[in-house]
This record gives sequence, C-alpha cells and structure tokens, in this order.
Amino acid sequence: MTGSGAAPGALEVGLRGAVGELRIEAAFEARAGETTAIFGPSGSGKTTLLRAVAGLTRLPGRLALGPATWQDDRRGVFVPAHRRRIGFAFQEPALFDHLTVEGNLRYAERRSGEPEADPLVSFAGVVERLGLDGQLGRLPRGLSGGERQRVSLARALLARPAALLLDEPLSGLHRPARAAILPWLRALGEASGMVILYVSHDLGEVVDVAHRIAPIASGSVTGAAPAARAIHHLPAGDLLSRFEAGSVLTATVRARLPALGLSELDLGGQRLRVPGAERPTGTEARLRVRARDVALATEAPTAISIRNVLRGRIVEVRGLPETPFTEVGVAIADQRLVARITRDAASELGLEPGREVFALLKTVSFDDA
Amino acid sequence: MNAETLWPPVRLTLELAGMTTVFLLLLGTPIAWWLARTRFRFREAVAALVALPLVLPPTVLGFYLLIALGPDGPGGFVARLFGDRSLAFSFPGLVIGSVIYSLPFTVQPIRSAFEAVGDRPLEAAATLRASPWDAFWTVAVPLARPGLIAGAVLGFAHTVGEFGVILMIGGNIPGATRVLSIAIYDHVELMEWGTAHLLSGSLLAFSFVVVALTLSLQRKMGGGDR
Repeated sequence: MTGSGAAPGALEVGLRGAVGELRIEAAFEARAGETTAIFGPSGSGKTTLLRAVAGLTRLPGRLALGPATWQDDRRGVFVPAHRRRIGFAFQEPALFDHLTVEGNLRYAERRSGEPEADPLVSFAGVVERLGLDGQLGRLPRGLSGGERQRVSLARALLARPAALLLDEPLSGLHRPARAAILPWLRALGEASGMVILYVSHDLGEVVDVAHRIAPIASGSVTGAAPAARAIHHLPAGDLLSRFEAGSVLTATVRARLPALGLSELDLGGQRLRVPGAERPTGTEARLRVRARDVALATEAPTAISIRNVLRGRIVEVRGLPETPFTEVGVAIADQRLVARITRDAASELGLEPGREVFALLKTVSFDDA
Repeated sequence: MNAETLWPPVRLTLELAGMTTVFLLLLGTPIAWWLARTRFRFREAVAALVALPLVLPPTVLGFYLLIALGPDGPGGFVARLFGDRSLAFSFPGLVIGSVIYSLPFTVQPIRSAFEAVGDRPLEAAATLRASPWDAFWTVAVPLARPGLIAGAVLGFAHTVGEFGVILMIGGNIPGATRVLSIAIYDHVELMEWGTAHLLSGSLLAFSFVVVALTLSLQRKMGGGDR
C-alpha cells in the first residue's frame, strides 16, 4: 500500500568530506518502507551525516531519493533543504516558540503539499498516537523535554515526508513511552512507503524500530544490513565495546499464563516461556537474548533451572580477537541466535559449524520490557 | 500661546517621525538581518558605518547631508527630476536626514533580536519546506518582534528629539521644516518661557514613556529566552 505522501523510492547516500575535525565517509542505501538505523557511539558523526542528507550541512558527494537527485556535485546539483521532501526531528527539538503546539503542527501540515489529509498520517491520528491531545493549546516553552520531542516528531511526520530523518528523537522519553511509539513508527513507515533514517546510540531503540542497521564508526558508514543479521555482525571491538552483543528472535504468543506471570511462545515449533503476560495470544513478539546469557550443550540437558532450551544447528564459530571468548551462531528454524562462550569451552565441546546443539537461554525478555 | 502656534510644529514632528520610522523599518530590517546572518569578513565595518551617527556631531552629519542634498549633490539631481532645485530645506530632505541619523537606533535592537533567534528555528522551517522568504516572515520576524518594536519606537523617539541635523539641512521654515525641537529653541530665543515649558515638558514625558517602554520590551526579550 502506498499513501498519498508516499516515497518515490530508496534513498541513496554517497557522501565523503569533512566538517571541522570530523571526516564523514558514507555509502549506503535506505529502502522505501523501511526504517534504517544509523547506529554508533556519540561523536561518530551521526548527526552531521543526517544534516548532510537533509541539506542543512554540505558535504561533497551525491544524494538521491528515487528519481529525485538532491545533490550531485559532479553535475553541480544541490537542492536546498526546503525543496527536499523531508521531515526532520532534531535531537534538541527546534520548536517555534511563538506558536502553540497546534500552531507548530499546522505549520508543517500547511506546507506539506498535501491538500487532502493523508489517511496514514492524519493530524488527529498523529496527535492521538503521540499523546498530544491535551497539549495542543500550550506554548512550547512550558513543555517538558519528552513532550517537546513528541511535538517535534509529530511535526516532522505532518510534513508528510518521503524521507523522515530522525536524530535521537525519543532520547528524552521513558522506556515504556518509547516502546509504544517505535513499533508504530516502524509500521507507519512500512505502510506509507517512506524512508526512515533513525539515528541512535541505543541498541534497544534500534532493535525496536529498525529493519536495517547501518553501523557508523568514526564517520564511516559502509552499508546497511538487515537488523537481525547486523546485530550479530556488529564488530566486537571499539564500536560494540559499549553495547551488548545479542540476538533478536521473533516468536508467536501461544498462551498467556497470568498466574505465573509468563507467556508461552512458539518459535519454529519449539516452546519458550518469557516473563510478562500482557501480549495477546496469536501476536508476534520480538525477543531479545544477550549473547552472554546463552549457554550451549551438546546433549539435551535435564534437571536444570533453565526453562528455555532450543535445539539448533551451529552455523558460525567466530573467535573474538584479544578476548578469551568465542561467539557461536546457532540457527533455530530460520532464525539466528548468538551465544558468547569461552574459547576453551568451545574447543572442549568440539563446537563446529554443522553440529547440532542445545541452546540454554538463561534470560529472555520481550524487546520492549 | 495659542493652538495655532503650538500645533504646526507638533504635527510636522509627528509626520516626520512617522514617515522616518516607516523608512527606518524598510531599510533597517534588511540591514539588521544581513548583519545578523552574514559571514562576510568586513561585516563589522558595515556595522560601524551604520552606527557612525551615534558618535558623529549632528552638525558634521548635517553639513555633509546639506552638500549631498543640495543643488550640486545627488539630492539636487533627484530634486530636478521633480522640477525642484534641491532637497535641502524640504520635508523629503528632512526624512532622508532623519533616516540616516536614526538608523543605528533601529538597526541595533533588530540585529540583536535576529541574532537571538539563531539558526535552529530557521533550519527547522527549511525542513518543513518553508522557503527562506517564507521562514523570514513566519519564523524570524515573529520571534524577533520585541526587537522590531524596540527599533521602531527608538527610531521614532530619536527623530522626535532631533535638532542639529534638522537645523543644518532644514533650517527653520514654519510648516515645512520647523519641528518641535526647533520651535522650542525659537521660543526660548524669544523669551516665551511658558510655551517653551509646555513643549519641553511634553517632550520630557514622551521620552520617559518611550524609554520605559523600550527597556521593558528588551527585558521581556532577554528574560523570555529561557
């Protein structure tokens, strides 16, 4: 399905240059209808890159959204920011202080070039979804940081962009509030066909929202990979040292066990029990498992406290340089789980690709818990 | 002391100050915007040129203006297009002189206000598809409004209080160039103390109101900015 404010296509980014001390080298594509997370630590050039895509900062190179070329230095093309079909949410929301919340949102809507309300991104829908109903008459100065960010996101959406550029747009919100917004945003992007670039240094956020992840380190982005795969392949060194390696699994809620405070899920025919019983039966849920919370056994374990044991096949064994650890990739149905165990254990058990193993999941959590 | 001698200078003064304020805003706002936004290397040299009337003796400014507006200057050239000889000693000449003389009083507060707005709101407007012209009117001007009002009020008040420049380029022609400050001077020369008192007292009260208003506006502007 394609909304009226829909994107004409993928966003191609090819930029290379310096802003002050920071060198940016970015070559990747963000697909229409997908959320691509630009993920990396602070100071890695995320914001500069996003500003360059918007046309607020100029870096040499080429930018195109589908058939529309935004920038091509070889042909001397540079479309100014106000002629690009973008929506932009700054990390520090730049609301118009002389307008009310509603005034800010209408400012965007009036200039969106969409005379008829887009059913996917309607004023009322966005306001309700971002919890701004009660705030419409207020002036931005009186709002809290989290409220300002929500207004800023709503305003960017109401510009009905073909490319929505978000710079840590929810950093001021509490986790439950964020968890309510991110899946909606992701789904909105899918339905409307817009490109979403989501800049973040928070792995949890990225996992919730992103179809693809484009890791950034010292200003360099070399591509975007599907989220599930990218998370396993995030380098263990400098980029990931501050983040936890882990996997994201998708499973279907089969039963709710409120008395135990658990949900029972089905993952490719295997059973899992996960704390939390709020999700309706039959829905898909994303689960997060940290690599260090996974143990491996070559025989079915018995009489242990760990409830979640999944049978799978090793697809990759990868030593982590300069550490005593090895990461083992295990295929479970069509999904992939990563375990971090010691090199010593891996060689003693003879873990090799192709071998069948049992993965013991010490902790599994719903992704938004 | 009667209305017929009191009223013409007052009316002329208000006309001059009103007209001057309009031109001050039309000319001063773009200059202030440019000064606030440009990265031009000699920006401060331009700013100094605009601010020059602050320190220049009015007689010096008036002298150069007299030459420029006179029959041999550019003002005379313009005047001839309208079948006149010179812009000196005329109402349009007074407006031109007043605009130049009061320009710093208008440009300074407006420039500060535009600088206080900063890049961010304008960038946000650009990402919402507002053209620079659109963003100027819908974001920069409303956010800088206290500065614009202060600039207009100060320009108006400064023109009302003008003396030296007007005397140099306008002389003292009743109904054409005889403004309040010059009328007061005349009344004092003629020892008409009562009239001088009345006019001076009114100007004193007016000036006080203006300064108080401007200060409170500037406080609001500075204090309101988080």
